[in-house]
Amino acid sequence: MLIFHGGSDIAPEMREPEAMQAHMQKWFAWVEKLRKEGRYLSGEPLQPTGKMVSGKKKLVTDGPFVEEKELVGGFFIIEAKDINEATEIAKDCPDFIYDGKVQVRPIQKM
Amino acid sequence: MARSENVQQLAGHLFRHEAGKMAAVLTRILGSDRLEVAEDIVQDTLMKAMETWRFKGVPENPSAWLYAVAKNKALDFIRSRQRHEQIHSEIAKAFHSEWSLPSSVNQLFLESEIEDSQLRMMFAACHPSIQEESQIALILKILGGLSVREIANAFLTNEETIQKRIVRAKEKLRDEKISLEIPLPQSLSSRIDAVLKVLYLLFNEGYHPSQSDQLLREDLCEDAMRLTYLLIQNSVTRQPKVLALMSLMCLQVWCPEK
Repeated sequence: MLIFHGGSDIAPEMREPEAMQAHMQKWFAWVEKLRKEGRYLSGEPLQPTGKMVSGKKKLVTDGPFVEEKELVGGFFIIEAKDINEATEIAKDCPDFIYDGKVQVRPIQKM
Repeated sequence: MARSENVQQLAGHLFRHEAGKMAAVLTRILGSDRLEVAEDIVQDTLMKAMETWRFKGVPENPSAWLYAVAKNKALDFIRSRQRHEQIHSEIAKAFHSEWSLPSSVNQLFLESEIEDSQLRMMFAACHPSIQEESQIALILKILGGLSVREIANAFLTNEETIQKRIVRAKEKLRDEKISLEIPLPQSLSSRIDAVLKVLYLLFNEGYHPSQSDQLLREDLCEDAMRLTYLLIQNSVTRQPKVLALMSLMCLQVWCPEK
């Protein structure tokens, strides 16, 4: 699983629709490439906020309010033979120019 | 497979062209006095597409995806606060009942109706009460899907000037209650002349760039031809002079002076 933090979601450059469109093209092309290679399984964008349920009392708060650059914008589930290959794939993420981060986590198989 | 080309093509064309189509349809649904709402819905729709496609990839039929989102946003707008009471468009009557509202909105998103809406939008934008320079700016903004900055670049002027021209054109549409329709036979010929003039000015701007730079110039030619082609496809507006203009454009495109 590739989890995308920060990056173009919060980059001020993305307020320009043309710049955003140009940048998103890179994402579309990336997904398309992974799909062609048979590596892309699924992915979802996440809305910026939701609810947080915590503690024994199941306290419900708005959130999660983490630092902006840590905010998860979305994720991919991809097929890779091991963590190294998955990490190499993650390096193609177009968001590094906007200080984005990608968390690479193997999904626990039964 | 054609799909990868498709994704590349998205870069310049799909968003721009679909923006133009959706703006025309939505304006026909909401009335020309709500052009700005139509534009907002188009922007929101494109934003949503970018956010979603970024992680899910481009869908099999991107146009249908965009239309579905735009339709829902239009329905939300009409339903909220019973706005249908204040909507002045040809199909507004159908909005009074929840039974006919979705189907009448769906109807206008059919391919043939989309072309018809673009034609109507073209005639409205080239209405004689709007100044010529504003007509061109409005056509490029609404039907061409260009941003104010892109239009300003194409016409070697600043964004403020273009913005003013567009605002003036919108005011006219609203104040003069210019509806989105194909003109009646008695005025059709002179109205077509006005449209053809703007289309040819548009084409020329792409063909004889006062400053030879980027791709956008070619896009202007292409837009002009695409819109002229719409006139040809409609039996009412398929007049000899329309065909003549199209031939002229084709000739110029195929014999570049080098």
